[in-house]
Amino acid sequence: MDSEKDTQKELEQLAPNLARLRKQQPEDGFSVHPSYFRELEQSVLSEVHRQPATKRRFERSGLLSWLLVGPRPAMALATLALVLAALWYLSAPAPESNLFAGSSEVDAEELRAYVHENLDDFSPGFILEVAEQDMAFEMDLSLDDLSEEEVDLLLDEYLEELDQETLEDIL
Amino acid sequence: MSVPIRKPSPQTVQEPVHTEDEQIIAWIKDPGTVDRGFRALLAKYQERLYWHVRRLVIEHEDTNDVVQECLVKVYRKIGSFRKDSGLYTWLYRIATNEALSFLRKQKRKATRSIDDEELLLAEKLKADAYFDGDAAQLHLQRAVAQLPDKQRAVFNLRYFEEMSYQDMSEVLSTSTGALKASYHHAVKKIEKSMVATEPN
Repeated sequence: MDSEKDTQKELEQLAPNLARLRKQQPEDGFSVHPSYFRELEQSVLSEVHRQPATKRRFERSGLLSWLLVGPRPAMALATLALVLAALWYLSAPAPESNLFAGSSEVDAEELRAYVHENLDDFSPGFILEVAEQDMAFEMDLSLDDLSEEEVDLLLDEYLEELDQETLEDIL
Repeated sequence: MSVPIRKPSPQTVQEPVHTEDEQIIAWIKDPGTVDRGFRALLAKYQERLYWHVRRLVIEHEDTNDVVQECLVKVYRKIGSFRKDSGLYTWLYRIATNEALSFLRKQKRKATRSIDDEELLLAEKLKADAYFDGDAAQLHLQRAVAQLPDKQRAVFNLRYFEEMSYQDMSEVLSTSTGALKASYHHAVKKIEKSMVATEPN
């Protein structure tokens, strides 16, 4: 951070009226109610301690847990699952390339959460390409110019922007 | 009636004793003390980030949403924080990106032109119960609201927060030369606006 003196001196050279105003009234005029920051802290802490919605949805019930963890039931279940999968594969029509195509039960928020949780499964370049097409803009830099963290931030931002149709296309 | 809290000026602010960034990071990286670290981070930075976002977004309710989103994101990403960038600039980068992204979304949703949108931003100040600046402050904020969003961020960081161009360069991923040019240009525009409205 520069010293107050540096900023004020720079301003005096550039804009004397503004410099005078800054010296007389350095505040910006914004305010909040007195307990706001205490409430903000509580609100943020309670939000971060809530388990993400996507994880909650896939939590196992006690019974399911027993079925999956117990050795003999697990073997039986695995065999049954294999038989059912084989039957389904033989009788099903050609598989859809789009995992979520035609599903009206999955909304954009859930799709976004899914992509976000499984970001490593998607190529950043691909998501950015889709985002650019969707939002009709061109990014003026290459992903190679960005750090891993910057790519993460960019992807997060783009994922927020994409509509349901585009998200379904990604999947 | 309780008195609203106003942002203290950089010149008069008495910094409370805060935990060093290195200590905060150490606590956060240790699973046993992650909550303690995050609380220390909030105690040190939440107010500063709020005022930074508020000057960009203007309305308190919108700012509250953006800052909460930003702090939750910080909590989720803190594991990927690398020590080669400062915690302070990393936090400001996330907050600035969130605020600019919010403004972009608002503009896309609006049917008004960008010029109208910037004028509207200025008018929001008048209606905001938590803007209690006098005529000069209102005039300054209206002039700042006419700047493009990223230039507003540059102006605010320098004018109100006295951030160095080097730190700003990390926050905004822009060269110091470009930031200096942007700030100087913003200052000239605001000065011109002030001179134009001065009473004869």
